[in-house]
Amino acid sequence: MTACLRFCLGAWLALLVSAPPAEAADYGFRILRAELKPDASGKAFRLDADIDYRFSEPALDALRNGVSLTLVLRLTLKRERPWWWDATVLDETRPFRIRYHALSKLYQILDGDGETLRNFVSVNALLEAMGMVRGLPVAQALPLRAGERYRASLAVGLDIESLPLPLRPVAYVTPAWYLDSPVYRWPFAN
Amino acid sequence: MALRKLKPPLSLSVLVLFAAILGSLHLMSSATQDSSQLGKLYSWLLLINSLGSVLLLGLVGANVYWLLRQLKQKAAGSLLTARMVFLFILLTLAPASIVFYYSMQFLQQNIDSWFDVRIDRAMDDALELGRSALDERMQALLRQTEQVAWHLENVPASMVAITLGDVYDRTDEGELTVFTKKGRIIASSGSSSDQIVPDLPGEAILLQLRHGKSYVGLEPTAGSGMKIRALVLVSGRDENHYLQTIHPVPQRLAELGLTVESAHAHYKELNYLRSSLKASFALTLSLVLLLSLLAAIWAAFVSIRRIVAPVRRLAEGTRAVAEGDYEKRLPVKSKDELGFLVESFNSMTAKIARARDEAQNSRLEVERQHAYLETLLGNLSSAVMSFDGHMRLQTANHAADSILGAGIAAQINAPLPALSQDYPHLRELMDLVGERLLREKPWRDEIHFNGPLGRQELFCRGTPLFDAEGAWQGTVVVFDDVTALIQAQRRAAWGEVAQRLAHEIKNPLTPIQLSAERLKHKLSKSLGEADAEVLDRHTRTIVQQVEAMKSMVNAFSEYAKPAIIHLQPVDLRRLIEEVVALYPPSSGLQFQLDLEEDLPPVSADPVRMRQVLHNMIKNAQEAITPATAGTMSINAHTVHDNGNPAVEIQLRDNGPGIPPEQAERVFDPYVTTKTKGTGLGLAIVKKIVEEHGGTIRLDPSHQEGAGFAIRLPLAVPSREEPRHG
Repeated sequence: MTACLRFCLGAWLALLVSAPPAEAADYGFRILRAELKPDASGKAFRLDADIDYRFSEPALDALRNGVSLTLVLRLTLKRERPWWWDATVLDETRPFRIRYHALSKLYQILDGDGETLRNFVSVNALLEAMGMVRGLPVAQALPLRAGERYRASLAVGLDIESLPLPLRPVAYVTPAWYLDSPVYRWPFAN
Repeated sequence: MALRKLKPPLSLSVLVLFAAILGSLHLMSSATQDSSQLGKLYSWLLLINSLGSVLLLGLVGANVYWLLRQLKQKAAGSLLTARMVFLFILLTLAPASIVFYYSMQFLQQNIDSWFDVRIDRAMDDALELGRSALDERMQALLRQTEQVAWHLENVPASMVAITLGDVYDRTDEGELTVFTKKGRIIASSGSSSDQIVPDLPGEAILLQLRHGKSYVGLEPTAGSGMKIRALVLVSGRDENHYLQTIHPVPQRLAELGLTVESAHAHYKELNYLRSSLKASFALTLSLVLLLSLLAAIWAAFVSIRRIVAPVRRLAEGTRAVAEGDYEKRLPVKSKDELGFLVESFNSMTAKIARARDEAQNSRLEVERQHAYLETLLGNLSSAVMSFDGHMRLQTANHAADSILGAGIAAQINAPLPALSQDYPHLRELMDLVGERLLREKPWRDEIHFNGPLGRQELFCRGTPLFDAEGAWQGTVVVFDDVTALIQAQRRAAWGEVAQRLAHEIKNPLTPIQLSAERLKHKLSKSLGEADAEVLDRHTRTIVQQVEAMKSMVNAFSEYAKPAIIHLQPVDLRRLIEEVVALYPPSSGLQFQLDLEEDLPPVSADPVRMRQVLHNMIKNAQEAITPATAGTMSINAHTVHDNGNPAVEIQLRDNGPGIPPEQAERVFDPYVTTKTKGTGLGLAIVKKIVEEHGGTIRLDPSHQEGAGFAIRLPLAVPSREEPRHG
């Protein structure tokens, strides 16, 4: 729903405010590598990924000014079918928040529910830690069949809908707030 | 047609639309207040309201386009609609713009007023206060950690855990960890540690330590707690280690610090979002204004069109009435004043239509009466002419044309002198009439008139016309052609005289003849030859003269005899040819016949008609001097006499003709210009022709000799043919 809304609003507001082209931008997320690995039990899978997070200046500015940013990792796994659309085996989103803690002068990563928290003394440390995903548990048991071909895809993006309300219309019409990574796809065989 | 589909929907749907717009706007406005549930819908609401604005803009645009087209086509009611819409938009726009402007001003100033330098400073100071409160503890912990590190210096790795145990005894809470540069844990002790694996610092801290600096830092923990982490470098015997102390901040202090932090963060965020906040409020307000304005304008279009609809229909109706369509009825769709107006219009057109029908009927009645009068006048044998007070001709019937031999009926409204000018032969008559008209009282007169038909006797009567007030309006003049009547009277008198004379003369003639013959018979034997011859000669003379007198008297009585004719259809063409055949060229006359091919039969007595032809031919023979070569032309063709078909026979000779002074009496008995004949020929012809219901007249157009024209009515069956056909 959010993606659809984002598309609608983005297209609509971009029409109203003719946005400058974003080719020359030096910001945006990019997935360098991603891999699904079975854990010791062999049933569950864990995600390893290297992600290059490059925030735009307005986003960093907002972060420094106490606005927490929500990022969403979206992992899908599809079984290829020759005569039909691919069957979706897994479609998981992992939201997490980053924010600046003024009292301790630390940058923090909070999981979706705020259960786990990691502190970093600098933005770079935060980005580095964030970019290195190791052993992220994705699913307890995937109904994978032997001999079938699977295709996994991973994307990460900034959730504009989670921004403070006054910032949303601005974010929708400002290219600097469009930080979504291209979808990274890789074949996956069981 | 596409525009017709944009017809105003029911008022219910308008209400529903308004309710939807209002609801959406209200939700958006609530969402702007950062209500948690609606906050999620904010973007959707923004999108929906924007789309609503576009939709309404489209509707308003379509309506404006429709209105412009109506204006261009000069459709009825379009100007009124345009004026009302303009007024409405002006009335809506002006207050809305003012409210919008001041709301924006108020909003800007109000939001700005939230942020104050003093509050800014206070927030920063509060944070700083919190930091310094915690800083003391942090420094204490660092010193404590450094002391522990001092104890651990140059302690072999195997002894670290024991030494640490001694130190731990002295510390009441917190967690101590010694680890190598590679992150291998040498020793760990602590009571507050709830984790199996000690919490090791991040790379950035370690990097700082490598440069020989100690580290102390505050770290929030999950939940609402805080901890202080202190790290120092321990110089070992073989290699350097890191000593890390993690100490939880007392609960109360942590809570206070986090409260200050969250308030500071919130304030900072608000300060940062100030411009965005203004923009989003402005956006919401603008959308509210735009939506309500567009909805109002659209509703205005819809309602104005509804209001103007009866006016438009009225205008169309008035146009139709102006073009003469009085049957136009407008539907009455409302009970208000406009509905009353439409009803009044309907009753007005109904009344106009009724009045028009009545006027039409009376006009038709007048026309009918006029036509009746025309027919009456047209069929009168008397000529009727009427003149107004300025001596202008007002009426003239067909008989006037035929009696006066002029197209008078076509000269309506012409003054009297103009008639004389157009028809010179009328001059004398018109002068006389004009002189009589001025008398303003009834008059009657007998007038001799020399018309194209010859000399006519006219009996004129003039009656002045007066209006209701007795003012003189003009005169009506009636002419009767009494020529035929006078001639008939004259002929009747002649017949009487002739019959009596014949009787009186014929009676002694037979005794005279008989006496003369007896005298001759008795005396011829007793007289000498000479005397006998004288006697014979004289008695013969007597007998001859008596015979001549007898034949004359017979002819005379023949003329005076009452008519006994046996009418039957006669083919005049054959009859004329048969009669003419009896006159060979040796008779002194050459004939030129021009007879119509399909001459219809006439109703006549063939014996009498032969007599007519013989008389006419004999008349010509007698008129022509032997010295000249006589020619006679006989034409026969169909003519229409006052609308009645007839056959006209024209007989023309090249004799000396008839002098004008004799012209009027040429058909009277014993009126002759010839040396020969009884003087009864033409009189008998005229008598026979008139007994057949025909006419004979001198043909004045023939100047080279005498010309006559005989008209005979067609046989009855022929007349009735069309009826059977």
